[in-house]
Formats: sequence, structure tokens, C-alpha cells
Amino acid sequence: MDNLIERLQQVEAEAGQALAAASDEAALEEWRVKYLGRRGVITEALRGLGALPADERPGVGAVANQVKDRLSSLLAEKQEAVRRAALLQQLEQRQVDITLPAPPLRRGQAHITQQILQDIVDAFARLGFQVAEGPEVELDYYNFEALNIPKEHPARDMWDTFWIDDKGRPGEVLLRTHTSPVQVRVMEQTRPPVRVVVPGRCYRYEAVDATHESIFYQVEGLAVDESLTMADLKGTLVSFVHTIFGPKRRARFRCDYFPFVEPGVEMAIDCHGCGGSGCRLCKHTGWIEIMGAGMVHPNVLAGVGYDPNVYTGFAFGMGPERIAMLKYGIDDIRLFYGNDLRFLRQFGPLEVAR
Amino acid sequence: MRVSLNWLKDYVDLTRPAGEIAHLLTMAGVEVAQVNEIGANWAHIYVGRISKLERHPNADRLLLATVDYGREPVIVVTGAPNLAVGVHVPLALAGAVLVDPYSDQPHKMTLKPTKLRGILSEGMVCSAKELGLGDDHEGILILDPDSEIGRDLRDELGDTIFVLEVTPNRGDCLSMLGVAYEIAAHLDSKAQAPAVEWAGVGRPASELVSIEIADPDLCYRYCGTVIRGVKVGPSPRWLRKRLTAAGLRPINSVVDVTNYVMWELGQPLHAFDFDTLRGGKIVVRRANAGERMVTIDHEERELDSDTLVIADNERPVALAGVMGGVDTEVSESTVNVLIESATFNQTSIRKTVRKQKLPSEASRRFEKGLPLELARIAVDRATRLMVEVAGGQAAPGVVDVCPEPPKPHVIDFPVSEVRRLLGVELSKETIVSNLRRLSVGVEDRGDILTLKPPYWRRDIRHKADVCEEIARIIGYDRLPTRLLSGSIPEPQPNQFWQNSRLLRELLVGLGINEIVTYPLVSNARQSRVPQGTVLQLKDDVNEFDERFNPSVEPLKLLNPLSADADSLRVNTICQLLETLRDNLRYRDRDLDLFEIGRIYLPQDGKLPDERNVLSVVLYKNRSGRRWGQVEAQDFYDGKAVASAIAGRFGVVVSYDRLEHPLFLAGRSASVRDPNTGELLGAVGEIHPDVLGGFDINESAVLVVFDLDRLFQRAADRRRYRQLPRYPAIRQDLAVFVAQSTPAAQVEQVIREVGQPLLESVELFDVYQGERIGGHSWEGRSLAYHLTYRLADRTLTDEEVAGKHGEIIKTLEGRLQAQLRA
Repeated sequence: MDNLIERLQQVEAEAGQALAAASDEAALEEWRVKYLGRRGVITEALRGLGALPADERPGVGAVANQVKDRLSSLLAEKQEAVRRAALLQQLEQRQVDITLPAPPLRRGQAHITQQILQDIVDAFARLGFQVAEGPEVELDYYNFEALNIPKEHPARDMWDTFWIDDKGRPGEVLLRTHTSPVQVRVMEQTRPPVRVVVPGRCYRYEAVDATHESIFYQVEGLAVDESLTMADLKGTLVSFVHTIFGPKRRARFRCDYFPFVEPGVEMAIDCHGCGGSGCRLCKHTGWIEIMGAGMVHPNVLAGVGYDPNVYTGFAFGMGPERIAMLKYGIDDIRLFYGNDLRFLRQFGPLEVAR
Repeated sequence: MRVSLNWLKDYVDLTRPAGEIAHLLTMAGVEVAQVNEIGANWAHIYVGRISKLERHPNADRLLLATVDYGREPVIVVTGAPNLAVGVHVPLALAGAVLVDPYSDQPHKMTLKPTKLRGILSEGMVCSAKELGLGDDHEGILILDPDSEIGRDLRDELGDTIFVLEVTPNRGDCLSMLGVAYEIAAHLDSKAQAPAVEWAGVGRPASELVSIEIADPDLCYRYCGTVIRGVKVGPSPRWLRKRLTAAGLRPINSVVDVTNYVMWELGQPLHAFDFDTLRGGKIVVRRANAGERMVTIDHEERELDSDTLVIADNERPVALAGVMGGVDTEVSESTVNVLIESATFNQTSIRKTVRKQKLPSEASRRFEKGLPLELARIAVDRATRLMVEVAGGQAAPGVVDVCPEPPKPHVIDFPVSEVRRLLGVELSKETIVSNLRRLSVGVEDRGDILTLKPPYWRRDIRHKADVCEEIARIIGYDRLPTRLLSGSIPEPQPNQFWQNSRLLRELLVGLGINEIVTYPLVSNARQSRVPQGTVLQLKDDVNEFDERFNPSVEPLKLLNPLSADADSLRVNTICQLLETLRDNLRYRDRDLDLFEIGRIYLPQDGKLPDERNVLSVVLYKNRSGRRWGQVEAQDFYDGKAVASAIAGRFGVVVSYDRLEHPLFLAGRSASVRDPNTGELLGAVGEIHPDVLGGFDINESAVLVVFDLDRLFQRAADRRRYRQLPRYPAIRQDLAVFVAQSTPAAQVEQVIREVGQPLLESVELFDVYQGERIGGHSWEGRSLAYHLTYRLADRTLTDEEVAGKHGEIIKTLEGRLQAQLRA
């Protein structure tokens, strides 16, 4: 019996060495068949078991099973190791050059004017201003007369006008020169309190250069109620400046003239180029004008049937292109509607890396 | 308006720095656009006189000039072509800082004595450019012959010029005195009006001239004085200097006085050669139609009955307030002068200016409206000055015709108005003293102040105007600021704005670039987008055109800026394709574009219908997984976009064949409301002929939507459905159908027959080829995944097999389909 046990031990040692040498699935299978198979070496070795006395058989049998178990678990370990090695090799081959740019995703972007209009509208929406719109082809009445600018008023020189060839009504139909006519249209249709913000396209009959377009946008705002004052006007506009340009921007208010407001206001912000000390950008004043405003003129209120002794209101208007130019450092307004995608894409997602 | 600081000091004490005055005015609404401090940097520069001029011994082109300036004369070497012995010139000595005339930048140089070709130049005679006075570097700046030799040039030419941008309401600031009043108000000092007294000699003016206002609706006041024995010649130096500082050209003593007074007081004046006026008579009247006159610019002008003229007994002698006539112009030989100072109807002047295209400093002032009081003050001031400057004797008295004498405007101003409009608490005393600083007469009647604005402030009429005056004095920046409070109006969200925003976000997410184009185009440009033929079925109108490119006469501009932008667009497609074309030049990629824009359709007796349209063009695009791979897009890419749009707004649509010359036949569809059949949009590959018109050589797909119709149908139709509890049975189905059988019909049959077991149908393959399934077939094969399921129980295989067979049978029966094995 010792003989047989020795034989088993010998087989175990031999199998261990053979297993260490096997390096792929096929070799392992071959090994398994050779040592653990039904006709394997261990089975062969146990053939002599029948020749042993019956009381010795269980002892040898147990040894044989132990050897078998140990070899089986060695095989399992080895199989796992081989599988991992193969996987590793496979993964190795799948590595990519991570510095290649990603395949392009299609990217589009809203037009810069629409983006800034939305920003402006949102800034006022927080204060309860709702969007109103109106026609671009307007009547002289809404564009001028109802805004306290009668025919032949010298202030009409402030708005060079495109006139429409309207056979029936000469001098009556025009392309609106500002969004202010919508103030009148809104007030005609509602009663106070009024809070609207009016984005829209406007037209001026004037030569185009880097700072003037003949076709451009405006955003108008109007609030009318029983107790609105210049203090509300100032507060509203300061809040706007902080929303759009950041809380550190300072606003300056000075007197200006627009026939449909009184007192008239012009708002400037401190120049981001020089911080207020004066530079080329702000024409050495330290301030950049961004908005006209004022308290709604009593004639305008009375014209829409609001009693100017009961109601007061304020209105303001700005050029969104100018706001965008300041915000993004654009130096030529003609780029806005040239629709060169090389320009428009600068206001899409940043191409930080692909 | 150019305002000289030296001149201003005639009326108001000014010691503040120019920058501070400019700031004060700007903040108060009288914007100072520019401050030119002439001579601020001058030092070591004097008035010199050339006493000797000789050739440089070593250089043909150079001169040696000996310049006297009150001390030891200096010799300077110069190349200037305009020097002569005796002229006065600016002489710069060592240490003077001058502008480098040869630099584009405002570069400064400090002068030091230099040898030029062997001779030491001890100084320099200067051009206007070197002194920073302008761009002229052709020759040396020749100074006035009356200038004092040896005087520091700062005292001779130094001044500060404020360039004001005067708003239309502040005509008073188109005058030196008006600006002086304004500054005085802010500095809390007093401005002094100039002297106007004069004494007449001999026969009174009223015996020499009669003045009649025939059209009192256009002329409110006419004042005239007569000065006899004037000597017309150059004005004295002080007067010339003043006019030059104001930017006006000195002409002669008589004309210069009228211009001086206009600048000083804001009242335009005219001087007639009195002896050329026929009949000793002035009539202010409307011109007779067809009447002609030659103005001083030697233009013959035809007049009409809307034009106000000044006439003598026989003929028009001036366009009232605009320009004088050549026949009665003051000349060297003029001896007797009539000075006119009048108030005209501002609208009438404005119309004449526009009609005759003759804007002037005078008409600018008339157009803004002038106070009646000023006509008299100005005629007195001018008469006094003219006698002083041009000599002669004034005839006693002013012939002053004023049918309705001026009366001061009165405003009852409740003190509480300041709080109501400005939101600031001010004591009555503060209000009163602020108004008095502005020369407003104040009568205190308790809670109400009775106010009389000064005659020159015609813009103060309402309570609100008074509030603005108070705010200006206090300073807008010192008014309180508060966050808007009060009641917020009932929310009425603007549906179009909100939906446009959603649409924009969708399309941007699909990788499409938004553009915004000008709505002004020309017929020639617009007509590159062809119109379709009229189908008899629909009211003689092509349905697509009616929505997206109507054949109407576009609205035309009366005054276009250019011929290719003279009317309002009736389609957006033209500019969409123009923009695509323009961007192709830059070899840009991913040129998918969209615009949300309006078209403008004329309507009888009403403002036009401004219709909102979406237009999208899809061009070659990089897509897929490969770098640099560019793919053309076709009908189905467009249809995908159209369906995504409809889906975003919950609008069910159907697609029909669309025949239109804009599109490739058989590769375009109309998008409709399946219930009403109304056209909502269209999608299709653009016809190569159309693209060729825009120089686009490769295929492009167009998608258009009538946004008003689309948004009108928008609704949030999303509803929760319970997730399925019972298993589905999936079966595939592939059939051959004829080429002419639309896939939509096949699918419709499947859905119809499949009810109620069929949950979904999904097309997964379309095969089109000469040989399908081993035999020749002229149609195509469509393959679908069918999913059967019931919500309340598990289906049996038999049930599904039965239904599936029924579907196949119906397809075979109705559409002559053949089952593909």
C-alpha cells in the first residue's frame, strides 16, 4: 500500500509541474484529461486498489481523493489565471489613441441676437415683466404721434424713417423706428398695472457703419401703476445691469430727452475696458451709454385713456446688439446680420477640446 | 453747437476746470460730446513776426527766417512755402512740445535747437498740425495781423471749445447765453445777459419801411431796424475770433454781426441791403405757386404756396428763415441795412428746408421753435453791435409787428408732485430755490406753486417738465433707487415667444445653426424662388405659394437705401439660400441653417399680415463615426426634422406628395393637419435649377413651417400609460408591394387589421432591387417588426398566428402584396 501512496504522491508532483508549464486553454484541457480524466493517471494508479486488503483500501482511497481534489483546485486556479491573461492580452489590443479628436457631434447655436434677447427678457421676467410684441410695419400714429411726437416735430430728426409706399395713405405707413409703439398698443389693450418687455426688430434710414445698422433689434420695457417713481425706474435698471453684466457693474443716470418720457433718462455703465478711468472704448469718459429711459409722458398716458393724475409709469429701451457687443467685445455691429457662421459659431458651445 | 469758454465768460463767472463744466452739462442733459482744450499743452510758443527771409546758403529748398518776438530775434530754418516778410506766425522755442506732423499717432516731440545743413535753427515756425489745431501741414499757420508780437500763444489762440449735442427740446442751448444760463443754474450763480440798448438818430425806422405780416399763421413776429451809412468791410479781430471759435466763417462786418447775435442769443437774423428792397416794404407771405427766386447760393428756386417768403413790394427777397435772396444781399457797396429778426412757424420752416434741401444753422434754430420775446431782444442787440462794428447810424425805433404779443406760460405745480414722480422727499424750500436757480418765477400758494418759466425755456410746460428740472439740479444720481414693488399684472405669457424659444432649442439641439437675415430684399432676389403652377382644385391659388411665397406685389419702400433692399420680403427662402451660398465661400462645414422670421403680406386698407415662418435648409453634413466624412442629406433627413418639430409641439401631421418647381419632383412632401387638411409646412429636396440660381451645386433639403398655424395647434398631449404587465409576442412580416404603393398604406392596413392585438409596427428594412427572393419583381420589399400584446391578459400563440395571417391576407387582397418567404 505504501507503494501505491508513493505512486500517487509521485503523480501529484509530476502533475503540478506539468500544470505550471501549461499556458493556454488547450494545454489545460489536455492536462485535465491526462491527470483527472476517466482514463487519467490517477484513475490508472488506483487500478491497483483492488489488490489491497480491504481494510487498507479506505486509507489509500482517501489519499487518492485528496490528491484529486488538490489537483482539481490547482487546475481551477490555473484556468482562471490563463483566462485573465488572455483577457488582458485582448484588452491590450483594444487600446486607442486617446489624443485623437472625438468624432464631431453636430452642433448648432441660436443666433447671438436671439441669445441676448432671451437673456434680457429673462432678466426682466424675474421682475414680473411679460413679453409683448407688435408689428414692424407701423402707422405713423403709433410710431410717433401717440408717443408725443406730432408731425413735423423737430424731435422726428432723432429717427430717420423708412416710409412704405402705401398709395392710399402717404406718410402714414412706415417701418417702425423703435419698439416704443408697442407701449401704446399694449396700453390700449390693457388697464394698469402694466409690466411688459418688448423685443423686436426696428429700422432706421441711415448709413451703415461699424456702430450703426439700418436694421437692428430693440428691447423696450414699460411699467405703469399707481405709485411708480423714478426710484423704481432706477432700481429696475440697476437690477438689470447686475443680472446681465455682473453685480460689480455700476450704473450712472443722467438727463436725456425722448419726447415720450419726462423726466428723460439715459443710463450708462462703468467702462469694463478701463474700470471708469477713461479709455478709447468709452471715449475717455469712463462710462458707456446703454439705455434710454424715463417716466412715461403724461400726454402718452392720456392718449391711451390712462389718467396721468392717477397713474405714473416708466419706460426704457436698449439695443441688444450693443449689449452683446459690450458683453463679448464685438467691435462691428455689421457682423450680427452678415450671418457668417465663423462669427455666429463663436457664440455656440466653446470648443475647449475635442 | 460749439461753445467757446472764453466767450462764455462774457456772461458768467467761470473758474471751474473745463472738465468739471463739461460733466455738469452732460449730467444735466446737455451732452458735451467733446472738449477741445486749445493750447493746454503749449509753452515756449509766442506770436512772432517775420522780419527777414533769405535763402539757405547750403540748400535750395530751405529758407532762413528771422523772427521778431519782442526779445532778441531768432533765426529759424524752414521749408514752408507760405512765408513772407511781415506776416505773424507761431514761433516755438526750445522746450516747446509739438505734435509730430509725420506720425499717424498723436505723437509729441520736444523742440531743441538743431543744425540744419550747417546752420543752427534756434526755433521753429509752426503749422496748424504741429500745434494740434488740425490736420493742415501744408504751410505755417499765419496769425492775425493784429496779433500782439511776443505774446504767449496761449493768450493769443488758447481757448476751450465744448462741442454740445443739443437735444431737440433744448433750443435755448443753441446759444451762448442759453448755455450760460444753464451753467449758472448748476453752479448756483447768475448769468448776465448782454447789453441791448442803442440810440437812434434821424428819421424813425417806421417812416423808412413798412412791415406787413400777410400770413400770421406762419409768422408770429417780425422786427426790423434800419441802419444807414454802414461801412461793409472786415470785422474787428475780436469778432472774427469769436466766430472762428464757434466754427463760423467771418464774411463781413454786417453779416458777421447777424451771425454773432444768432450764436449769442439763438435768434437767427437776416440783413438786407435796404436800398435794393423795392417800395420800402416788407411783406411776409406765402409764395405764389410758380414764383421763382435766386437765393444767395445762386440757385434758382421754384416756390409753391406752402413756402413762406419775405417779399418786398414786388417779389420774394428771401425764403423765410432759410436763406436770403441774391438780389438783396449785403455787399461791399451796401450803405443802408435792414435787420430782420422774426419768429416763424417752425413746421413751415421745417417743410421748406426739406423741400429745398437747405438745412442751415438758422433753420436748425427756427425748426426747434423760438420764443416770441427773443425776436425783439435780438434785433436790439444786433442794432447796437452793428453800429459799433460797421459804423453808420440807426434809425430810431424798431418796426415790430406782433399780432399776438407773448404772454408767459403759467404752471400750477403741486409740491407733492415731486414725491409722486421722482420718489424723493424734498422740502418746499428746496424745490423753490432749485426752480429759482433756473430763473423760473415762483409764487408760493401753499401746497401749490404757481410757476413762470423764463421765456427761453419753452420746453417747461407740464408738471413732469418741472420735475425734470428739479431732478436735473439735484442730480439724477442723487435720486433714490428702490427695487420695483407693487402689484404684478395677471400673467399672460406670450405664446409665440415661448414656442419660438422651444423650437429654437430643438433645432439647435439637432445641430442646426440659427441665422437672422434682413427682411428688406428686392423683387429680383425674391424671384429666384420660383412659384408653382395653379392647381384648379384650390381657389386658383397654389397652396404652397399662398403660405410661403405668395404672388403678391411686395410692400415697397419710398426711400430705400439700396436697390437690392427696396421692399419687404414675401418669402424667407431667398435669404436662407443666400446665406448658405455666402457661407459656402468660406468652405465652412455643417451648413445646416434655420431662421425664424416674418414675411410681410400686404392687405387692403390694413397693415400687412406679418406671418411667422420657420425655414430650414440641410446641406452636406459631417456625420457618422469617421473623421472628415461628409454626407449629403436627402428627403428623409428633412422629414426627420419636420417630424421632430411637429412632435415637439404635440401636433399630429401627415405627409402628402407635393409638386412644386422649388423641389425635385417625387422628393418633396407637404405637411398637413390630417384632420382639416390644412397646409402646415413642406419638406423636400430643392430643385437643382433653383440651387443653381444661388450658385449652390450640391443637393440641399428645405423644411418650412407656417409657425402661426403650427403653434395654434400646439398642445401638451403627453399622458401617462401603465407599463405593460403581460408579455408581448413579436413577429416579423416582410411583403413585396408594387413600387407605386406607398409604405404608409401598407402600415395603415397592418394597423387597421391588427387591432386590437397589435401594439406596434416598426419598419426595419426596405429593399429595392431587380431580383428579390430569387425572382424578378418590379416593386420593393418592406419588412416590419410587429408586436402583439394585450393589456389585460397573456396572448396565446394561436390568437397571434390568426391575427398575423389575417393581416397578410388583407395585404394580399387589398394591395396585391406578396408574402416574402
